[in-house]
Amino acid sequence: MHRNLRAAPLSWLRVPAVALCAALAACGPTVTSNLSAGSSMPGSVALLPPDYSIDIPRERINLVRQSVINQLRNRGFIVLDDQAVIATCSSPQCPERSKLAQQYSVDGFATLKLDSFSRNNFVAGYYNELAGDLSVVDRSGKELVSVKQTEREEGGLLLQSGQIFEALLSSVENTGDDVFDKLADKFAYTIVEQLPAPTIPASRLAQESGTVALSSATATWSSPTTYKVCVRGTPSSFAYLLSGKSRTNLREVSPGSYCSNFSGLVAEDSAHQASVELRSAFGTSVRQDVSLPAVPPCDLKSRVKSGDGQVKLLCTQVGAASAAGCSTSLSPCSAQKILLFSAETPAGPFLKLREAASSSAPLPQDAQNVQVMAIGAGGVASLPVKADVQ
Amino acid sequence: MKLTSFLSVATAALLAGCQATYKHTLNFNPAEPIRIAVLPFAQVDSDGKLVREDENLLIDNVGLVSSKQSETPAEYMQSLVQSELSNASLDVITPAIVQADLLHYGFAKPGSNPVTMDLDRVFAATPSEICSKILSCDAVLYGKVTRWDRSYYGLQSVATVAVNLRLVSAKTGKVMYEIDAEDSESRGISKGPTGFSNLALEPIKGLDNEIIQNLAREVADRSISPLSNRSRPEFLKTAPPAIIASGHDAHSGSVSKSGKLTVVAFGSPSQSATFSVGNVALNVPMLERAPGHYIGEYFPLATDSFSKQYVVVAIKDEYGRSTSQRIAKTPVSVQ
Repeated sequence: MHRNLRAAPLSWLRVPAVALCAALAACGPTVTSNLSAGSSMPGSVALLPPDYSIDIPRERINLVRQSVINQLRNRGFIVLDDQAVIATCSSPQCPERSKLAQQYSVDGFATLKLDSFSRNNFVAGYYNELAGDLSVVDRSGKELVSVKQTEREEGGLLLQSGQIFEALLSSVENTGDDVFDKLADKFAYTIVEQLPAPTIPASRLAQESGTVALSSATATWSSPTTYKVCVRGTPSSFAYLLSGKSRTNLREVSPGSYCSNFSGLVAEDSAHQASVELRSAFGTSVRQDVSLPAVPPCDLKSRVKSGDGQVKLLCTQVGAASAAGCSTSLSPCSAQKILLFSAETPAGPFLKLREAASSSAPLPQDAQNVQVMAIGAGGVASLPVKADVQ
Repeated sequence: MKLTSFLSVATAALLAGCQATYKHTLNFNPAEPIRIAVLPFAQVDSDGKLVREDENLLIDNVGLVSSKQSETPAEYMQSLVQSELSNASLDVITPAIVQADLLHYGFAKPGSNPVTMDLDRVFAATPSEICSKILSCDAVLYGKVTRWDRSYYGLQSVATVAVNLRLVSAKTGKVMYEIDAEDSESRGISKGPTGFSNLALEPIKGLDNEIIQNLAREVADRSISPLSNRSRPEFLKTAPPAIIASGHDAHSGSVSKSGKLTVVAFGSPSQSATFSVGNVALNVPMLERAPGHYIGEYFPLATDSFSKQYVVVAIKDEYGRSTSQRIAKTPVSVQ
């Protein structure tokens, strides 16, 4: 009697649940192959730029795309780095693809289309869906293989186990975007797994893997207000400075030498430890830590005096290894020059007012929010400090 | 006999007027957290033309019955819709940012003091223009109040609110979601008053602005419900990063090789900001000197040489959501 009472309310669920499960189980990847007998997949491919014209957030498209690139590499393909693709292609169709083929010896091109994407929440369950297709063409544009896949993730009372606890648990887990991350990974894995594995000559594999090398990385003051980060390594690679959350490119100034100038203002704010990265066109990368130039240890605060129309620097030790002298000495300084800046508001931005080749400089009458930087021997700069009117 | 017919027809008309209609079309997956900008709502007349907002359009125009409100029906309806959107899986740009950016980009009525929005121009702008040049968004939500009536028929009063909401994709121009909603609330004979005094008072009470405000709340709720989603991604708990203004100091567009380019931006505080100069200098870090005030500098290398590259500022939040703004000012050249 008790059993019948419990079974009765669930019986109406059986039909739709069974039908839905059957429908879901029936949908596997659809593979269309035009590979002729004896031919193999291209070993090196470029995944053409993403098409953002669909109504899916850009961040999610990028995530799926990166998952597919990772899976292609796991599958044994040599995949051209995104930086090279984006720098060359002007549109998702990439009319410049022949340039990619010539410059990077790419054998084929892959296109990822996300045709539809939906996520529906039922009353007692959820059902996430990601659909799209991945096609690979050769250099002439002939389609070799195309894979269509609709990836689903099911959960909840109807779709998972029928146990109420499980249903509640999975519904709770569906509140964050990590659900999408998992779905994207599953989609990428399934769709790439259907591609025939490439055949890559060992010589080519050796050529593309492990070819990027980083021999040195330096960061030095290049002017009173800027420092230069340079990397030496494999020519025709992509170099970056990774600092905090930013990833800034370094330009190749001569074969194998990559540099960029950075503002001392930013160095003041960021951690002094950063790293540089060198990436090959096919994504092999190497990193090395680099110490950003230390901000001069002397804190000049309260040691800049402005009054009588003059700004006078009372202490230097700019760039000195020890700050001890700085904290005790208030003698007129021996800075090579000082720079005056002013801004309309204390927050800036600051514009340079004048430069003086001594430790004091006349102050314009209407100057507001004045800050001073001292330049010591060798062009080493101090932090900008507020000129307190005394 | 004639009186009976008249009463029958009038009653039928009044009852018919109380029917709610909510017709919507949904052409996208509302679970996708696309970023939308809700533009200022407008009130339209029966021909669909924007009507000028003035004192007579304030929510309460019935003296003695209820207190006066400072918002127009369009403003009130917009605030309700904005509130209901918090139940949807959409990444809604903060209303103040939309307002500030539109005014910053010249959508104010010329010479208006205090500054007011030129709704004709706002509605004439394409979603693509709004999302690519002014705001960083995927779609634009337009709202029109098509009816805001309170009618008094002696034994009955009827309050009616009708809105049209249209969500248009900036990428494709297609209408992603549209709803025509109309609902009414009556007071008086149709609600079955129990005595003669109620028969006279109830219709008058029905003119209270609280009635029409509650009705508007109901309309907003039901208009947004097709977009509701129980499983909102974690990052939707905060507003997306915003850039209100940005600029650089290369007035002529030319930067000398020994010089520098200073880029400033004002936007959401405590975020990670960078700027790029074309494809040459990518993601140059910017420093937040004061909350929301970012500054960065680009110093050309001796080997740098490029012509007419635009500067793009980007702010990214902790979830990886990014907002970028191309500085519309002169493109930059280094030669």
